[in-house]
Amino acid sequence: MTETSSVAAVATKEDAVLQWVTFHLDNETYGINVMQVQEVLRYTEIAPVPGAPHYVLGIINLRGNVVTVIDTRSRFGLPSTEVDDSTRIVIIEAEKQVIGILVDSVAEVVYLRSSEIDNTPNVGTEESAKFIQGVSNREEELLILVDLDKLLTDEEWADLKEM
Amino acid sequence: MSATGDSAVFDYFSLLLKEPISSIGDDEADLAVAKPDLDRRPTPEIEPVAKLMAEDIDNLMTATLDKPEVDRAVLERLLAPVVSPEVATEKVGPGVMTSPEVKIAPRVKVNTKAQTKAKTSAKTETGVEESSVSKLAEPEVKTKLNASAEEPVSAKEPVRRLADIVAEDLAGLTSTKVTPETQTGSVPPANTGLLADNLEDDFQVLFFKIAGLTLAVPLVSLGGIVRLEKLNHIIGRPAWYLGLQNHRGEQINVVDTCAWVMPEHIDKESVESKNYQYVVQLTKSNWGLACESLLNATRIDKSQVNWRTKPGKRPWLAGVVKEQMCGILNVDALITMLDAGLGCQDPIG
Repeated sequence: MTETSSVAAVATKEDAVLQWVTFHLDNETYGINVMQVQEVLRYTEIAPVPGAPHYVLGIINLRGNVVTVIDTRSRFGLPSTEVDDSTRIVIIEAEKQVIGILVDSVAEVVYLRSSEIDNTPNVGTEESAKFIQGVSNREEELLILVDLDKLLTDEEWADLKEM
Repeated sequence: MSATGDSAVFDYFSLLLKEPISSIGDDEADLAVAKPDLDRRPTPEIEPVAKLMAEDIDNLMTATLDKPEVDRAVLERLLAPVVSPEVATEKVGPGVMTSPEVKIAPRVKVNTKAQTKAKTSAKTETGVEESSVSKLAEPEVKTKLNASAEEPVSAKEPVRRLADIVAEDLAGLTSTKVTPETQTGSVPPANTGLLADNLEDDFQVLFFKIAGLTLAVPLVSLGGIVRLEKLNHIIGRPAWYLGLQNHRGEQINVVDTCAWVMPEHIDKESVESKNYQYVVQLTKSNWGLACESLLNATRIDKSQVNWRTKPGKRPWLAGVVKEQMCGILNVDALITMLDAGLGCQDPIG
């Protein structure tokens, strides 16, 4: 029993289950690690910041704290769209910073085993190609997993910190 | 096929022809020696070579156009794994292509074993055992092949354009100087292998069509044929990357074949005019080429292909099928290039 159970334990450990918050952008479903998500807000007015980089929509006041909101569509190279009732601002923590990302809508929290995550070919030349951590097929729908830490470059994270 | 697609393909192969032919000067000298002394008048420099090439091409074209040979038995054998047992088998005369309604499983596993059997045994008409058919041909997706999907390969327009490739290869044959064909001119592509070395003397190929261009893929390199369905757009990918298609739990990276093969001729109009229907999966890789229609499959002899002897600038192009005047793919090299995110003319060494 001992040997078999230890092997099983190792296998289970390697095939860890992770939770992902899923959201929609331009008819695709994306997932981000639930551990990095602090909260999800309804759309609120975003104050533009003069001279901010193009991917920064502006700032919001979150219970007394100023949070920078990123234009996720622009970052992903997707066309912009109108804000509607389902638009959400997801507050996340990445690279020791708290920022908001604007998404079309937030769907649910899903559980995924590591073994259920596939790699995508690293053929992208654009910056946005680096955001993709992997993909997973779930209920006939493809979930694209985003690495939030790579959403911005080191320089951009540093710029954001100084805003 | 649209006029824009026509011109794009034509322009593409015209450009290929414009690659420097170092041998023309030498050939001209040879011809000058062979000429009788009586004719001392200056002759146009490239005309004789061009004429010879044109004649060769004309001969090939005439042969193709006059005899659109279609090996129906081979086609049936190829489609056996994808066609369900209820396929209507109309009796037709030789060389006549019809468009029967067939049921195609979304994924084709080419049973090479079964094909080998077909060669050596005459037990069944198709050479594919019923059990393997039932395993492979899951009638999940019913597809009606459109008329164009079965039109003979020897359509006039692709033939004319691919004549350019043949002309290029003929020029290569007459060449005496060896010049590197790589984009940089220095690093020859590696890991491509010569397809001809890995094939039997006669082998089966599948012809498919994109934007007026016909391409051939050896069946041994064919992973399957899948109906193009919902594609998931993946951000940050090159223009030739169409998206990810889920197929039975596996992800297929679908390539916009037209954009990959002829990137310089892709404009908005041609993008809109493309009507991809199928994905030709490359061996067991996760790569698939989008195509507009499947033409037919036939058994050809190695000698029917003008093989490229050097991998050169386009290692994905193994050679040209003389009769059909179309390019034959070196799938292994193609996969290597796609894995590396390279375009059709990028060196992979």
